[in-house]
Amino acid sequence: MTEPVDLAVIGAGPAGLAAATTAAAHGLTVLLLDEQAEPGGQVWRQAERILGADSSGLGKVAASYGGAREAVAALRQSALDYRPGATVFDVSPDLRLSWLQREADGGGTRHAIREGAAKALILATGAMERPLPFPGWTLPGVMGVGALQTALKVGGLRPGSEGLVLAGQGPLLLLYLAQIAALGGRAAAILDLAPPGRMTAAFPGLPQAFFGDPRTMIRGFGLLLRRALSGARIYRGVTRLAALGDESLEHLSFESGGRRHELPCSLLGVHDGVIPSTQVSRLLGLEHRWHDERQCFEPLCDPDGRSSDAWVWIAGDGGGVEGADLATLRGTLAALKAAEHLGRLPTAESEKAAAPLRARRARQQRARAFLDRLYAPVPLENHLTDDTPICRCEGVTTAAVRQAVDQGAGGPNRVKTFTRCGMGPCQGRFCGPSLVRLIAAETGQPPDETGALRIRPPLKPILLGDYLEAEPEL
Amino acid sequence: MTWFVRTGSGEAVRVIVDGAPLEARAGESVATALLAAGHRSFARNPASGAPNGTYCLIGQCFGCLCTIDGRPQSQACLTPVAEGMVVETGEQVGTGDD
Amino acid sequence: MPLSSAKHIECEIAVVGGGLVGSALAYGLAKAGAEVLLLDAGDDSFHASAGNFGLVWVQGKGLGLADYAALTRRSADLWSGFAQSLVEESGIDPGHRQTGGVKLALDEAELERYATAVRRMHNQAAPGDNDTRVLDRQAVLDLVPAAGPEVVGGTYCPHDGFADPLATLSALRRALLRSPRVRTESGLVTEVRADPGGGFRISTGDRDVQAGRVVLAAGLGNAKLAPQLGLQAPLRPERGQILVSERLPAFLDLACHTIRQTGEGTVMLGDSHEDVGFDRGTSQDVARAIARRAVRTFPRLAQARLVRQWGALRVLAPDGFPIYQESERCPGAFLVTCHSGVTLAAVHAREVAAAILAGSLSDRYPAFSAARFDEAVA
Repeated sequence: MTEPVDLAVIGAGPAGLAAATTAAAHGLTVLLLDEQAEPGGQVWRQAERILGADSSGLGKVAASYGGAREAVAALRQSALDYRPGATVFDVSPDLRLSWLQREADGGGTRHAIREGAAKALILATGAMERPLPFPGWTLPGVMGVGALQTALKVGGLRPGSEGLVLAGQGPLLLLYLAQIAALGGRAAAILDLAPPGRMTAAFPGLPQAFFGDPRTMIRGFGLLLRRALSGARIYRGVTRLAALGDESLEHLSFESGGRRHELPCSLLGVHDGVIPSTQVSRLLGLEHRWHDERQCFEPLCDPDGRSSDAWVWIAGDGGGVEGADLATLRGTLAALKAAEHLGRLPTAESEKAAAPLRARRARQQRARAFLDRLYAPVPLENHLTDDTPICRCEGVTTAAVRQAVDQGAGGPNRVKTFTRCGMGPCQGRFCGPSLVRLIAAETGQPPDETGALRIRPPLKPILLGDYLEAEPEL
Repeated sequence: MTWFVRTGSGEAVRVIVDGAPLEARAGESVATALLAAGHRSFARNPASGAPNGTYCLIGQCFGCLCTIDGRPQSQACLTPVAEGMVVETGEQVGTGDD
Repeated sequence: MPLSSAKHIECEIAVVGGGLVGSALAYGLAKAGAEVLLLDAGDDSFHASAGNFGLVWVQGKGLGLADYAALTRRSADLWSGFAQSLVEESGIDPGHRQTGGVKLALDEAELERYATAVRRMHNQAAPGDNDTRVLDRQAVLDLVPAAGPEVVGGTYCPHDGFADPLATLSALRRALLRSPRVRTESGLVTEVRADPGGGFRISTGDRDVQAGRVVLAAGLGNAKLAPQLGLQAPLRPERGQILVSERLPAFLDLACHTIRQTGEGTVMLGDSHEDVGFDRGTSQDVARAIARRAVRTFPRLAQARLVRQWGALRVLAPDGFPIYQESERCPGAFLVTCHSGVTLAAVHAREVAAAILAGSLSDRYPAFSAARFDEAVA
């Protein structure tokens, strides 16, 4: 076994880049593992290419890359061990990491299992779009708005003449709309899935939100204004959304304004906010708590991101969604505290650096609280039918889950054994969040008691043949 | 009528998809190259037999699996294109005996 | 929580443990006419059932205890009828198939070890026949054409097969749910004691159960509960790790000891034997060893995706055999514990449940009394 590094960081988005470079700057040996081929995570996807792109083309997307240039430059100047193309598939309780390394090999690609160990770990695994199951959501042509945005950043793809419909709510949807508008694209229609009355409910928090983070709030209202001016037809208070088609999406059906609507549609972007990716934190058995307003589990962390394991920190959206700006800050904070815990930074110094960061975060969190209320998750029952698949991999339906609960399955792990929900390759990433909400609603239990799917290795499937290779080394 | 159109510009990379050459853009993923070429689904779901939808493009949904350079069940959204790369879409293994 | 605030339940017979052993017993007891309460622990308990490999396995079992070999064989033969009843009563197919089973050897020394074990089983005076036989490479290929070039031979037993443990548990649960004589409550049993006035009191913290009789079928949990009723359950956990692949086209009909293709097409690979206490964790070393052996046995598996790995705990008595016993100190209290919950499910539902109801468990199965451990010491 190779010597453990001081710190391993998983994820090279805003939080992971800040954490890894800060730790390296304090003299720690750092291993930064990232699944993507290029640094930046999702929000700064392809940062180096986008920041270098022509301002008449994809460069227009660069407006949402604030901080990326500095973060990536810091990475490139740092001596830390950065491994792109590394898919972490197991982390043991004693912080041994196993990953599948993708590397170019002559004209092709080769994959090899690699292992390494670390004294401390910072998880910066980010967030994913909240799964919003509705009839037909598994049809090709139904995609997350985040996915559409990724297609734009990665391949320069924007919707073509077949047209686009957006369904959902939240800042990302508005941002995407503005981004494609800048590049000559548009949405034909927007189905607002927010139940009526959300703005009224959130309104009392507005002054605090403005005070706490004026920049984000002004940006947000600008995006709302651009939605109004985008020319898209807006349907409000949409319920009973269904995607229909044979081999791929052909049209949509939904209710709005007291009547049923049908729209031809081959590309639908769906968005209901983002939730932390908790696969690694769950695998490690860290404590999590249900966030009622955000309707998801979040790892239990102290204000510096330290988890229930004293050697593991969680930075960025993976520890609760607060956005890219704060992710950088949280990455820095976690790295300072890890350096302190490893005895490489005196407490006085780490505290001196940490205090203003904590204060800024607390201030900006006020805007987040407003957004949480304004964009509270769409109630599952607004769109679910009995035969809607909750689990995309195994096709397990709402009715099958309810039946398992009736049979006495009081938690997601029993439902999994009864129905195969969560047994497919995605490891419950896409059914888990809905499953917990559904079981809690059925049983009347709080989700903290319902619990979550037990996560097991491999976090991502590997080939059995991958194990035939020689003993892995770092 | 087009599903997706390209904006911006980039260096061209040639990959082989189901035996036919396809021009992709350097730095993009196999998934976006396929979407740009009008592939709506890359494989069928082994449980239901229905075409997989590519939902997330960030490696979470496993709806973009295909065979890349001979490696089956690869996540196309996480694999950058490379010159000469061979991609196979279509029926997924395990749909049963039929 | 004081008992006074707990929900009070009365029943004729309580089964503690909602895994495969407890559920099969509850099912058998109800079929025989008893009013049954099944007490099941929560979502995150140890659940050997949920981690099970799913073999209905006869060959090699009972070396050193002929009664166990016979019990296993009876259960394997009862399984088809048991499965049929479950399908009729629950609508769920437990996925049982008596395909015959092979154990494959990857070198001559290994084959010789397997062959020796078969000979020893033949020499053991066992009621019922023992028709496990040794196969050469060609005979293996006739049965398992997908076997790779390294496979030199194996052993075959026609009574072996498999069932889907999750489907079996699900079918049992649904059949129980539909039975008017069964009630299921969830909650981890923390205390059980004999009432001075007869019968038993069982506490789950928020439920207070009064039962005429009680059956302990709580797997590893029996170790703590049994002494409260004058029974001994010297059980220890043994971890087995299992790997499961994605769904693959059918290539393996037979149960293959450590490799089994399920009805859905996934391939289960096992199994390790590790003494690690109550740790259900997994390790990469074991994954590598299991994966390598599987690929050597069936080279096509090199291209199969590993989807999941888990550890589960076997419930083992010191000699690995079951304990079936009624308490002498507290008549009406029964202990049923074993590590082969799938294989023995049929005999539990049919034979063992009937013996419990008749009060003849200890008489019917003298070889499975925990007293054998005292004798071993003495």
